[in-house]
Amino acid sequence: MFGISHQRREEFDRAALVHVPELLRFATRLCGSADAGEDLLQETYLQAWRSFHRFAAGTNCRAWLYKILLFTHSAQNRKRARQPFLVDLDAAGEAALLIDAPTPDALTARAVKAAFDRLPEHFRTLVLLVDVEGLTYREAAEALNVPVGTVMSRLSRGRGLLRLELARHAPESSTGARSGMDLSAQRRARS
Amino acid sequence: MNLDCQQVRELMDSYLSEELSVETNHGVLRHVAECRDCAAELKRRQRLRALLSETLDLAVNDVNADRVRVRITHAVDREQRSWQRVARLGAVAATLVAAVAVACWAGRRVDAAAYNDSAEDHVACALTYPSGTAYDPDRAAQNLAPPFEHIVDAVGRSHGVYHVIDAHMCPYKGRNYAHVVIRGDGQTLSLFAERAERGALPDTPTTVLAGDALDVHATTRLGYRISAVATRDHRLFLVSERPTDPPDLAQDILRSAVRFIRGLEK
Repeated sequence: MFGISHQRREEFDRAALVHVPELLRFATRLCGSADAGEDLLQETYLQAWRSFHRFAAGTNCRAWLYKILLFTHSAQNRKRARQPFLVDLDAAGEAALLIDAPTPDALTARAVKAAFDRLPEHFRTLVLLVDVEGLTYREAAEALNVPVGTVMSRLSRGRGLLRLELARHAPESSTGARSGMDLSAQRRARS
Repeated sequence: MNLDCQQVRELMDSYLSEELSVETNHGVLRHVAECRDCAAELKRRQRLRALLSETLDLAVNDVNADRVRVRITHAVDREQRSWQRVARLGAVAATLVAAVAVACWAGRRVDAAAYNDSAEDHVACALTYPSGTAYDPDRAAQNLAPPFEHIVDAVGRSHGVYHVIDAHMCPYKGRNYAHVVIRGDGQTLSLFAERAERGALPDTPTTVLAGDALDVHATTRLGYRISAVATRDHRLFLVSERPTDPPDLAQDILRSAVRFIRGLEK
Protein backbone atom coordinates (compact mmCIF):
# COMPACT_ATOMS: atom_id res chain seq x y z
CA MET A 1 0.00 0.00 0.00
CA PHE A 2 2.73 2.44 0.98
CA GLY A 3 4.75 1.40 -2.08
CA ILE A 4 1.87 2.43 -4.28
CA SER A 5 1.61 5.70 -2.38
CA HIS A 6 5.32 6.36 -2.96
CA GLN A 7 4.96 5.66 -6.67
CA ARG A 8 1.93 7.95 -6.87
CA ARG A 9 3.90 10.69 -5.17
CA GLU A 10 6.71 10.39 -7.71
CA GLU A 11 4.19 10.65 -10.56
CA PHE A 12 2.62 13.71 -8.91
CA ASP A 13 5.98 15.45 -8.50
CA ARG A 14 6.91 14.69 -12.09
CA ALA A 15 3.60 15.74 -13.68
CA ALA A 16 2.46 18.61 -11.48
CA LEU A 17 5.41 20.40 -9.89
CA VAL A 18 6.86 21.50 -13.23
CA HIS A 19 3.94 23.92 -13.57
CA VAL A 20 4.69 25.76 -10.32
CA PRO A 21 6.32 28.88 -11.90
CA GLU A 22 3.51 29.41 -14.40
CA LEU A 23 0.74 28.76 -11.89
CA LEU A 24 2.43 30.93 -9.28
CA ARG A 25 2.44 33.83 -11.74
CA PHE A 26 -1.21 33.23 -12.56
CA ALA A 27 -2.26 32.84 -8.92
CA THR A 28 -0.42 36.02 -7.96
CA ARG A 29 -2.10 37.93 -10.76
CA LEU A 30 -5.45 36.49 -9.88
CA CYS A 31 -5.16 37.37 -6.18
CA GLY A 32 -3.35 40.66 -6.65
CA SER A 33 -0.59 39.91 -4.14
CA ALA A 34 2.35 37.51 -3.90
CA ASP A 35 1.42 36.21 -0.43
CA ALA A 36 -2.18 35.47 -1.37
CA GLY A 37 -1.00 33.88 -4.64
CA GLU A 38 1.40 31.56 -2.80
CA ASP A 39 -1.29 30.53 -0.34
CA LEU A 40 -3.71 29.88 -3.17
CA LEU A 41 -1.12 27.83 -5.04
CA GLN A 42 -0.26 25.73 -1.99
CA GLU A 43 -3.94 24.98 -1.40
CA THR A 44 -4.28 24.18 -5.10
CA TYR A 45 -1.44 21.64 -4.97
CA LEU A 46 -2.79 20.06 -1.78
CA GLN A 47 -6.19 19.66 -3.47
CA ALA A 48 -4.46 18.27 -6.55
CA TRP A 49 -2.53 15.75 -4.45
CA ARG A 50 -5.71 14.65 -2.65
CA SER A 51 -7.44 13.99 -5.95
CA PHE A 52 -4.43 12.87 -7.96
CA HIS A 53 -5.82 9.32 -8.07
CA ARG A 54 -8.56 10.73 -10.34
CA PHE A 55 -6.10 12.33 -12.74
CA ALA A 56 -5.73 10.29 -15.89
CA ALA A 57 -2.05 9.94 -16.77
CA GLY A 58 -1.28 11.30 -20.22
CA THR A 59 -4.03 13.93 -20.15
CA ASN A 60 -3.44 17.65 -19.78
CA CYS A 61 -2.08 18.13 -16.27
CA ARG A 62 -1.59 21.86 -16.84
CA ALA A 63 -5.30 22.46 -17.62
CA TRP A 64 -6.25 20.15 -14.74
CA LEU A 65 -4.17 22.24 -12.31
CA TYR A 66 -5.64 25.49 -13.62
CA LYS A 67 -9.08 24.02 -13.11
CA ILE A 68 -8.32 23.17 -9.48
CA LEU A 69 -6.73 26.57 -8.91
CA LEU A 70 -9.75 28.40 -10.27
CA PHE A 71 -12.14 26.24 -8.31
CA THR A 72 -10.14 26.78 -5.11
CA HIS A 73 -10.00 30.51 -5.73
CA SER A 74 -13.74 30.82 -6.33
CA ALA A 75 -14.45 28.62 -3.30
CA GLN A 76 -12.28 30.90 -1.14
CA ASN A 77 -14.05 33.96 -2.53
CA ARG A 78 -17.46 32.46 -1.84
CA LYS A 79 -16.38 31.66 1.68
CA ARG A 80 -15.15 35.19 2.23
CA ALA A 81 -18.23 36.79 0.74
CA ARG A 82 -20.61 34.31 2.44
CA GLN A 83 -22.87 34.54 -0.55
CA PRO A 84 -23.57 32.39 -3.60
CA PHE A 85 -21.29 32.78 -6.60
CA LEU A 86 -23.59 34.55 -9.06
CA VAL A 87 -22.54 36.52 -12.11
CA ASP A 88 -24.64 38.14 -14.75
CA LEU A 89 -22.54 37.48 -17.81
CA ASP A 90 -25.04 38.90 -20.26
CA ALA A 91 -25.39 42.23 -18.51
CA ALA A 92 -21.65 42.57 -17.96
CA GLY A 93 -20.73 41.92 -21.57
CA GLU A 94 -23.65 43.69 -23.21
CA ALA A 95 -21.76 46.95 -23.66
CA ALA A 96 -18.90 45.14 -25.36
CA LEU A 97 -21.27 43.70 -27.93
CA LEU A 98 -23.09 46.96 -28.67
CA ILE A 99 -20.01 49.13 -29.04
CA ASP A 100 -17.17 47.61 -31.00
CA ALA A 101 -14.46 49.77 -29.51
CA PRO A 102 -11.17 49.94 -31.42
CA THR A 103 -7.94 49.82 -29.51
CA PRO A 104 -6.63 53.31 -28.68
CA ASP A 105 -3.29 54.35 -30.13
CA ALA A 106 -1.87 55.82 -26.98
CA LEU A 107 -1.60 52.77 -24.76
CA THR A 108 0.28 52.99 -21.51
CA ALA A 109 1.03 50.20 -19.08
CA ARG A 110 -0.80 52.13 -16.38
CA ALA A 111 -3.94 52.56 -18.50
CA VAL A 112 -3.90 48.91 -19.50
CA LYS A 113 -3.54 47.78 -15.89
CA ALA A 114 -6.34 50.10 -14.77
CA ALA A 115 -8.65 48.90 -17.57
CA PHE A 116 -7.82 45.29 -16.81
CA ASP A 117 -8.56 45.77 -13.09
CA ARG A 118 -11.95 47.27 -13.94
CA LEU A 119 -13.04 44.11 -15.81
CA PRO A 120 -15.54 41.89 -14.00
CA GLU A 121 -13.62 39.02 -12.44
CA HIS A 122 -14.97 36.26 -14.71
CA PHE A 123 -13.82 38.15 -17.82
CA ARG A 124 -10.53 39.14 -16.19
CA THR A 125 -9.78 35.50 -15.37
CA LEU A 126 -10.40 34.38 -18.92
CA VAL A 127 -8.34 37.17 -20.50
CA LEU A 128 -5.57 36.29 -18.06
CA LEU A 129 -5.73 32.60 -18.92
CA VAL A 130 -5.71 32.99 -22.69
CA ASP A 131 -4.17 36.33 -23.62
CA VAL A 132 -1.53 36.43 -20.89
CA GLU A 133 -0.81 32.83 -19.88
CA GLY A 134 -1.32 31.51 -23.40
CA LEU A 135 -3.74 28.68 -22.69
CA THR A 136 -5.56 27.43 -25.75
CA TYR A 137 -9.33 27.86 -25.90
CA ARG A 138 -9.69 24.14 -25.25
CA GLU A 139 -7.41 24.25 -22.20
CA ALA A 140 -9.25 27.27 -20.84
CA ALA A 141 -12.57 25.49 -21.36
CA GLU A 142 -11.24 22.50 -19.46
CA ALA A 143 -9.90 24.69 -16.66
CA LEU A 144 -13.19 26.54 -16.30
CA ASN A 145 -15.29 23.44 -16.89
CA VAL A 146 -17.34 25.15 -19.62
CA PRO A 147 -17.77 24.44 -23.36
CA VAL A 148 -15.23 25.90 -25.81
CA GLY A 149 -18.02 28.00 -27.35
CA THR A 150 -18.63 29.62 -23.97
CA VAL A 151 -14.94 30.43 -23.66
CA MET A 152 -14.93 32.08 -27.09
CA SER A 153 -18.04 34.08 -26.34
CA ARG A 154 -16.83 35.25 -22.91
CA LEU A 155 -13.38 36.05 -24.28
CA SER A 156 -14.88 38.13 -27.04
CA ARG A 157 -16.87 40.09 -24.48
CA GLY A 158 -13.95 40.39 -22.09
CA ARG A 159 -11.59 41.66 -24.77
CA GLY A 160 -14.27 44.02 -26.05
CA LEU A 161 -14.85 45.40 -22.56
CA LEU A 162 -11.12 45.87 -22.10
CA ARG A 163 -10.89 47.92 -25.30
CA LEU A 164 -14.00 49.85 -24.30
CA GLU A 165 -12.51 50.70 -20.91
CA LEU A 166 -9.29 51.82 -22.60
CA ALA A 167 -11.22 53.93 -25.12
CA ARG A 168 -13.30 55.58 -22.38
CA HIS A 169 -10.23 56.65 -20.47
CA ALA A 170 -8.02 57.38 -23.49
CA PRO A 171 -7.00 60.97 -24.36
CA GLU A 172 -9.19 62.75 -26.96
CA SER A 173 -6.42 62.65 -29.55
CA SER A 174 -6.31 58.87 -29.40
CA THR A 175 -7.78 57.12 -32.41
CA GLY A 176 -10.66 54.74 -32.49
CA ALA A 177 -14.02 55.90 -31.28
CA ARG A 178 -15.22 57.12 -34.65
CA SER A 179 -14.13 54.10 -36.64
CA GLY A 180 -15.49 51.90 -33.87
CA MET A 181 -18.88 53.48 -34.17
CA ASP A 182 -18.63 53.08 -37.95
CA LEU A 183 -18.11 49.36 -37.46
CA SER A 184 -21.06 49.16 -35.12
CA ALA A 185 -23.18 50.81 -37.76
CA GLN A 186 -21.78 48.34 -40.28
CA ARG A 187 -22.78 45.44 -38.02
CA ARG A 188 -26.30 46.83 -37.53
CA ALA A 189 -26.67 47.30 -41.27
CA ARG A 190 -25.50 43.75 -41.90
CA SER A 191 -27.97 42.28 -39.44
CA MET B 1 -12.37 33.42 -48.14
CA ASN B 2 -13.32 37.10 -48.44
CA LEU B 3 -13.85 38.84 -45.11
CA ASP B 4 -15.09 42.39 -44.44
CA CYS B 5 -13.68 44.69 -41.76
CA GLN B 6 -16.26 43.76 -39.16
CA GLN B 7 -15.60 40.06 -39.59
CA VAL B 8 -11.85 40.58 -39.42
CA ARG B 9 -12.18 42.63 -36.22
CA GLU B 10 -14.21 39.82 -34.70
CA LEU B 11 -11.60 37.24 -35.72
CA MET B 12 -8.56 39.32 -34.91
CA ASP B 13 -8.01 38.15 -31.33
CA SER B 14 -8.47 34.49 -32.28
CA TYR B 15 -5.92 35.10 -35.03
CA LEU B 16 -3.46 36.42 -32.43
CA SER B 17 -4.20 33.36 -30.26
CA GLU B 18 -3.56 31.09 -33.26
CA GLU B 19 -6.98 29.56 -32.89
CA LEU B 20 -8.23 30.04 -36.46
CA SER B 21 -8.42 27.43 -39.19
CA VAL B 22 -5.84 27.71 -41.97
CA GLU B 23 -8.41 29.01 -44.42
CA THR B 24 -9.78 31.68 -42.05
CA ASN B 25 -6.24 32.63 -41.10
CA HIS B 26 -5.44 33.28 -44.75
CA GLY B 27 -8.66 35.29 -45.10
CA VAL B 28 -7.60 37.55 -42.20
CA LEU B 29 -4.08 37.95 -43.57
CA ARG B 30 -5.36 38.81 -47.07
CA HIS B 31 -7.75 41.43 -45.67
CA VAL B 32 -5.12 42.99 -43.40
CA ALA B 33 -2.69 43.19 -46.32
CA GLU B 34 -5.20 45.34 -48.21
CA CYS B 35 -6.88 47.27 -45.37
CA ARG B 36 -4.78 49.88 -43.59
CA ASP B 37 -7.37 50.44 -40.81
CA CYS B 38 -7.54 46.78 -39.94
CA ALA B 39 -3.74 46.40 -40.20
CA ALA B 40 -3.39 49.29 -37.75
CA GLU B 41 -6.01 47.78 -35.42
CA LEU B 42 -4.19 44.42 -35.54
CA LYS B 43 -0.95 46.14 -34.51
CA ARG B 44 -2.71 47.95 -31.68
CA ARG B 45 -4.19 44.69 -30.41
CA GLN B 46 -0.78 43.02 -30.58
CA ARG B 47 0.61 45.94 -28.62
CA LEU B 48 -2.26 45.72 -26.12
CA ARG B 49 -1.61 42.05 -25.58
CA ALA B 50 2.11 42.58 -25.11
CA LEU B 51 1.45 45.44 -22.74
CA LEU B 52 -1.01 43.34 -20.79
CA SER B 53 1.59 40.62 -20.23
CA GLU B 54 4.22 43.22 -19.46
CA THR B 55 2.14 45.15 -16.97
CA LEU B 56 1.01 41.98 -15.24
CA ASP B 57 4.47 40.50 -15.28
CA LEU B 58 4.96 40.25 -11.58
CA ALA B 59 8.19 39.43 -9.87
CA VAL B 60 7.93 35.67 -10.22
CA ASN B 61 11.50 34.68 -10.81
CA ASP B 62 13.23 31.33 -10.53
CA VAL B 63 14.19 31.93 -6.91
CA ASN B 64 10.58 32.68 -5.97
CA ALA B 65 9.29 29.67 -7.86
CA ASP B 66 11.89 27.38 -6.26
CA ARG B 67 11.00 28.62 -2.79
CA VAL B 68 7.30 28.07 -3.43
CA ARG B 69 8.01 24.63 -4.92
CA VAL B 70 9.83 23.65 -1.71
CA ARG B 71 6.97 25.03 0.38
CA ILE B 72 4.45 23.01 -1.65
CA THR B 73 6.58 19.87 -1.46
CA HIS B 74 6.70 20.13 2.33
CA ALA B 75 2.96 20.72 2.52
CA VAL B 76 2.30 17.66 0.35
CA ASP B 77 4.79 15.64 2.45
CA ARG B 78 2.88 16.51 5.61
CA GLU B 79 -0.39 15.64 3.92
CA GLN B 80 1.01 12.34 2.69
CA ARG B 81 2.34 11.43 6.16
CA SER B 82 -0.97 12.23 7.81
CA TRP B 83 -2.77 10.09 5.23
CA GLN B 84 -0.36 7.25 5.84
CA ARG B 85 -1.10 7.49 9.56
CA VAL B 86 -4.81 7.47 8.78
CA ALA B 87 -4.29 4.50 6.45
CA ARG B 88 -2.39 2.58 9.16
CA LEU B 89 -5.08 3.32 11.73
CA GLY B 90 -7.69 2.43 9.12
CA ALA B 91 -6.01 -0.93 8.50
CA VAL B 92 -5.98 -1.67 12.24
CA ALA B 93 -9.61 -0.58 12.55
CA ALA B 94 -10.59 -2.69 9.54
CA THR B 95 -8.88 -5.73 11.07
CA LEU B 96 -10.72 -5.18 14.35
CA VAL B 97 -14.03 -4.74 12.55
CA ALA B 98 -13.38 -7.93 10.57
CA ALA B 99 -12.53 -9.83 13.77
CA VAL B 100 -15.69 -8.59 15.46
CA ALA B 101 -17.71 -9.45 12.35
CA VAL B 102 -16.27 -12.98 12.30
CA ALA B 103 -17.01 -13.36 16.00
CA CYS B 104 -20.56 -12.13 15.48
CA TRP B 105 -20.99 -14.44 12.51
CA ALA B 106 -19.68 -17.36 14.50
CA GLY B 107 -22.01 -16.38 17.35
CA ARG B 108 -24.92 -16.29 15.00
CA ARG B 109 -24.26 -19.72 13.51
CA VAL B 110 -27.25 -21.92 14.05
CA ASP B 111 -26.98 -25.63 14.81
CA ALA B 112 -29.92 -26.49 12.58
CA ALA B 113 -29.71 -30.28 13.16
CA ALA B 114 -29.49 -30.04 16.95
CA TYR B 115 -33.05 -31.21 17.70
CA ASN B 116 -33.23 -33.86 14.99
CA ASP B 117 -29.89 -35.40 16.00
CA SER B 118 -30.92 -35.70 19.64
CA ALA B 119 -34.21 -37.36 18.67
CA GLU B 120 -32.46 -39.70 16.22
CA ASP B 121 -29.81 -40.73 18.77
CA HIS B 122 -32.55 -41.30 21.34
CA VAL B 123 -34.16 -43.76 18.93
CA ALA B 124 -30.87 -45.30 17.80
CA CYS B 125 -29.39 -45.69 21.29
CA ALA B 126 -31.74 -45.25 24.31
CA LEU B 127 -34.65 -47.21 22.89
CA THR B 128 -32.44 -50.21 22.15
CA TYR B 129 -31.73 -50.93 25.85
CA PRO B 130 -33.51 -54.12 26.82
CA SER B 131 -36.20 -53.92 29.45
CA GLY B 132 -34.88 -54.64 32.89
CA THR B 133 -31.49 -53.02 32.28
CA ALA B 134 -30.13 -51.86 35.58
CA TYR B 135 -27.65 -49.07 36.21
CA ASP B 136 -24.06 -50.26 36.66
CA PRO B 137 -21.90 -47.48 38.15
CA ASP B 138 -18.66 -49.14 37.05
CA ARG B 139 -19.85 -49.44 33.46
CA ALA B 140 -20.99 -45.82 33.50
CA ALA B 141 -17.68 -44.66 35.01
CA GLN B 142 -15.86 -46.56 32.30
CA ASN B 143 -17.98 -45.20 29.46
CA LEU B 144 -18.19 -41.54 30.52
CA ALA B 145 -15.36 -39.18 29.73
CA PRO B 146 -14.27 -35.93 31.41
CA PRO B 147 -15.78 -33.53 32.16
CA PHE B 148 -19.05 -35.49 32.26
CA GLU B 149 -17.97 -38.39 34.50
CA HIS B 150 -20.10 -37.16 37.42
CA ILE B 151 -23.19 -36.27 35.48
CA VAL B 152 -25.29 -39.11 36.89
CA ASP B 153 -24.46 -38.15 40.45
CA ALA B 154 -25.37 -34.57 39.67
CA VAL B 155 -28.65 -35.44 38.00
CA GLY B 156 -29.58 -38.13 40.55
CA ARG B 157 -30.09 -41.82 39.87
CA SER B 158 -33.79 -41.86 40.76
CA HIS B 159 -36.64 -39.40 40.27
CA GLY B 160 -39.80 -40.92 41.58
CA VAL B 161 -40.58 -43.86 39.29
CA TYR B 162 -37.88 -42.82 36.85
CA HIS B 163 -34.40 -44.35 37.23
CA VAL B 164 -31.13 -43.93 35.37
CA ILE B 165 -30.30 -47.20 33.61
CA ASP B 166 -27.07 -46.18 31.87
CA ALA B 167 -24.72 -43.32 31.07
CA HIS B 168 -22.01 -43.18 28.40
CA MET B 169 -20.30 -41.02 25.80
CA CYS B 170 -22.40 -41.41 22.70
CA PRO B 171 -20.78 -40.32 19.41
CA TYR B 172 -23.45 -39.46 16.81
CA LYS B 173 -23.01 -37.71 13.45
CA GLY B 174 -19.82 -36.06 14.59
CA ARG B 175 -21.24 -35.03 17.94
CA ASN B 176 -19.99 -36.41 21.22
CA TYR B 177 -22.97 -36.54 23.57
CA ALA B 178 -22.79 -37.45 27.21
CA HIS B 179 -25.92 -39.59 27.17
CA VAL B 180 -27.89 -40.43 30.31
CA VAL B 181 -30.66 -43.00 29.71
CA ILE B 182 -33.58 -42.84 32.14
CA ARG B 183 -36.48 -45.17 32.18
CA GLY B 184 -39.82 -45.31 34.12
CA ASP B 185 -43.55 -45.13 33.84
CA GLY B 186 -43.49 -47.08 30.56
CA GLN B 187 -41.23 -44.68 28.67
CA THR B 188 -37.55 -43.97 28.10
CA LEU B 189 -35.98 -40.53 28.50
CA SER B 190 -32.65 -39.36 27.13
CA LEU B 191 -30.59 -36.59 28.64
CA PHE B 192 -27.90 -35.40 26.21
CA ALA B 193 -25.16 -32.94 27.05
CA GLU B 194 -22.60 -31.71 24.51
CA ARG B 195 -20.17 -28.90 24.04
CA ALA B 196 -21.59 -26.01 21.95
CA GLU B 197 -19.42 -26.25 18.87
CA ARG B 198 -22.00 -25.86 16.12
CA GLY B 199 -23.65 -22.52 16.91
CA ALA B 200 -26.88 -21.43 18.52
CA LEU B 201 -29.99 -23.53 18.96
CA PRO B 202 -32.60 -22.97 16.27
CA ASP B 203 -35.37 -20.59 17.31
CA THR B 204 -38.36 -22.32 18.88
CA PRO B 205 -41.03 -21.24 21.35
CA THR B 206 -39.36 -20.99 24.74
CA THR B 207 -40.47 -21.22 28.33
CA VAL B 208 -38.50 -20.08 31.34
CA LEU B 209 -37.10 -22.76 33.54
CA ALA B 210 -38.26 -21.68 36.99
CA GLY B 211 -35.53 -20.97 39.50
CA ASP B 212 -32.71 -20.83 36.94
CA ALA B 213 -33.86 -17.99 34.68
CA LEU B 214 -33.03 -20.09 31.63
CA ASP B 215 -34.92 -20.26 28.38
CA VAL B 216 -36.06 -23.79 27.58
CA HIS B 217 -36.61 -24.44 23.91
CA ALA B 218 -39.55 -26.79 23.44
CA THR B 219 -40.13 -28.62 20.19
CA THR B 220 -41.19 -31.98 18.76
CA ARG B 221 -39.08 -34.05 16.35
CA LEU B 222 -39.79 -37.54 15.02
CA GLY B 223 -42.75 -37.66 17.41
CA TYR B 224 -40.57 -37.05 20.49
CA ARG B 225 -40.77 -34.07 22.80
CA ILE B 226 -37.50 -32.21 23.15
CA SER B 227 -36.66 -29.66 25.85
CA ALA B 228 -33.36 -27.95 25.14
CA VAL B 229 -31.25 -25.46 27.12
CA ALA B 230 -28.21 -23.51 25.96
CA THR B 231 -25.62 -22.59 28.57
CA ARG B 232 -22.48 -20.59 27.86
CA ASP B 233 -20.46 -23.48 26.40
CA HIS B 234 -22.87 -26.42 26.32
CA ARG B 235 -26.21 -27.62 25.00
CA LEU B 236 -28.56 -29.93 26.90
CA PHE B 237 -31.46 -31.91 25.45
CA LEU B 238 -34.10 -33.93 27.30
CA VAL B 239 -35.96 -36.26 24.92
CA SER B 240 -39.19 -37.96 25.99
CA GLU B 241 -42.14 -39.69 24.42
CA ARG B 242 -44.74 -37.91 26.51
CA PRO B 243 -44.88 -35.57 29.53
CA THR B 244 -43.55 -37.10 32.72
CA ASP B 245 -45.87 -37.73 35.59
CA PRO B 246 -45.70 -35.43 37.41
CA PRO B 247 -44.72 -32.91 34.66
CA ASP B 248 -42.27 -31.12 36.97
CA LEU B 249 -40.10 -34.23 37.07
CA ALA B 250 -38.64 -33.63 33.60
CA GLN B 251 -37.92 -30.04 34.60
CA ASP B 252 -36.18 -31.25 37.78
CA ILE B 253 -33.90 -33.52 35.74
CA LEU B 254 -33.08 -30.72 33.31
CA ARG B 255 -32.54 -28.21 36.10
CA SER B 256 -30.12 -30.56 37.87
CA ALA B 257 -28.22 -31.13 34.65
CA VAL B 258 -28.00 -27.37 33.97
CA ARG B 259 -26.57 -26.77 37.44
CA PHE B 260 -23.98 -29.47 36.86
CA ILE B 261 -22.98 -28.03 33.50
CA ARG B 262 -22.82 -24.49 34.85
CA GLY B 263 -20.55 -25.80 37.53
CA LEU B 264 -18.24 -27.11 34.80
CA GLU B 265 -18.22 -23.76 33.09
CA LYS B 266 -17.07 -21.79 36.15
